[in-house]
Amino acid sequence: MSALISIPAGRCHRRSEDSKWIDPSAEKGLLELSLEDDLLHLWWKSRVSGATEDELIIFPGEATFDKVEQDPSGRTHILKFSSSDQKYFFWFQRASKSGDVRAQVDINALLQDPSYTPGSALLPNPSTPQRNQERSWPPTPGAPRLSHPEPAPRAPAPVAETPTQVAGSSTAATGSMDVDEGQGSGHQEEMARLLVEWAQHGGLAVEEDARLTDVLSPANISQLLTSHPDLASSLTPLLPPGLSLPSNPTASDLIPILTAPQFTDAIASLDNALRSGGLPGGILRDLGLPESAGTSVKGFLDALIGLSKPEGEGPPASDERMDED
Amino acid sequence: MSEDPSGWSLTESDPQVFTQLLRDLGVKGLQVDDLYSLDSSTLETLKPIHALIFLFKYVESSGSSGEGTSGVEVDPLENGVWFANQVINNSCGTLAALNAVMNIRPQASSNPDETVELGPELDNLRDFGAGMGSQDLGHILSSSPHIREVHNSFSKSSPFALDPTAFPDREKEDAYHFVAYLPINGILYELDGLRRNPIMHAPVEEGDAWLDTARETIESRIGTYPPGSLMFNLLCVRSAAIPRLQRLLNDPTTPAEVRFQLQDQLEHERTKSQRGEMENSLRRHNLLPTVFALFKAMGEKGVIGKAVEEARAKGKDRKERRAAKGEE
Repeated sequence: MSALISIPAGRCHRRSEDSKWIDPSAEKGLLELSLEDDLLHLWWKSRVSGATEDELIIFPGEATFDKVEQDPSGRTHILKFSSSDQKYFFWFQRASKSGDVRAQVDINALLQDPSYTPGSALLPNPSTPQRNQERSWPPTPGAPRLSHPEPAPRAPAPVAETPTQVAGSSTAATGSMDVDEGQGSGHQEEMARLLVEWAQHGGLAVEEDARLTDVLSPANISQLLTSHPDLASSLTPLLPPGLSLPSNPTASDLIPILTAPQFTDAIASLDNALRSGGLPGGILRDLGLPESAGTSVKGFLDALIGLSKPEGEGPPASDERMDED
Repeated sequence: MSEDPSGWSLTESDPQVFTQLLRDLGVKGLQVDDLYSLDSSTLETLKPIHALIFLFKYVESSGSSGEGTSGVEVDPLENGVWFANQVINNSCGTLAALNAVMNIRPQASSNPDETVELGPELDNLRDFGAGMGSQDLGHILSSSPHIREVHNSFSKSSPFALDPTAFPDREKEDAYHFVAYLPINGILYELDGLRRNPIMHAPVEEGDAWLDTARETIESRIGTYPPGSLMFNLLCVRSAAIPRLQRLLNDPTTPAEVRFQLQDQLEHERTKSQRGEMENSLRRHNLLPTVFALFKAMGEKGVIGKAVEEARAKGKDRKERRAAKGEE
């Protein structure tokens, strides 16, 4: 049975039975909607065990799926039933926040009308995110959601359910972002909180005018390889097999490949990821860069610029620096 | 490159992706090419053409009222049309390609490389789905692990969702709408997986005449949108070119003056196919390690500072131009 929609998302749990606080759980999961025997099922599956841990049958129009405005990261969402006071919280776990609005709109529209085609409803105008609350009700799939002027009976704000934000935002460079399975469970909640903060931090990152696609432009790539032909031997093993390259490719063999549009796409996606939420510190650590390099485009570029400065004091250690210009 | 990093990257609607996709699904004897123009001299070099794939997106959200299409919805089963609905949203392009090729009649040829056939996988799918409704066919396609795997294999170069279950392309693909046009049993159809049924346009004669009707239909459709509100691209599904060119060149009866041209075309097709293979290899590979290595090399070689400064200047420039535009 294929799902109508499947979004990487974790659950959030109440701190206690009647607590006003909820904490995101670090466990990786999938939030899926599926139609079985004409009934809309919502389930949450663990991506660790693969097991379906929550399953709900929802009648069209019975529940809504909205962003929790109290969560500054914008990643926490509430599934709220109009027929009862059941509430469930989820937080989106995709690396980039860029698809969050689309996912929220799609899930909500499917809850209203299971025949809705994900991706077809227009998104709320991103320049006026605050107006989100004036949504039409019920949302009409395919119709602009902000086009209905009549005041909508907006879902009561889930005031009680402020997701936990650690007060005093700690730095994003804590590097505890690896929410991989296998961590002690006591740690998990704390880590998940940090993850939310980290995403939040990425959202507020200092704007960097430079685009990575301009820094590592095809022209700059060609120039780099032309003036440092020795790079060819270290780059070749990273490239896919089946490029019909000679056995010891030279810089000029590699340049047409490294300047192909697929590289520009990959660089643009890295730029996008850094701008929309950052990269987990672990990735940067593996690269020998400080974790702060993963927090923003500026952080990334600053870390790279730092590489050309000699460690500690003393004259520049490498002759390569002399090649410059 | 594209100004909007979250949009459909043009390379993904690249004909070479479709060509490889069909090949990976076992289809023989077909290739997909860009069609920059529908005039007869362009079409002449591409014939025989079996189907057109029209992809478009609205630049402005003005296209709400009219669907922009003429023609009549008809029952696919009664008319012998293989038609699957789009039931999940990360499959638009693949679905349009399948809706097209499943309706292309197999063609035997004395040159085995020129034989057009669906291949065992799609043949099975066809047999299995015989008599099924479009919704069910859509579900069968979307639940086929192999089709899904092939489809997803082209988007590995930008693996930014760090886990495999998040498809970063979903949003990208949504932006474009794919519609196939082709003649089936002497009638021009429009196959749009988001519509309930195939749309019947007009009867067409045997051979390439359908292309004229298709051109009129597509042009009039484009005409229903306000100028500048539609971005579109046209692809054609045609018989594999290289085997045919090779046969003609090997044929001693081919006149000398034509040979020259054929040789040229063969050269062009070979270059295109090599380039396509290279780009497809890149699409199927995580390029991030190479990207990081290049960035690191720029840092270590001390050339990053200058590049960043230039990129910043460019970015500021862009911002100012945008601001100036906004004030107008």
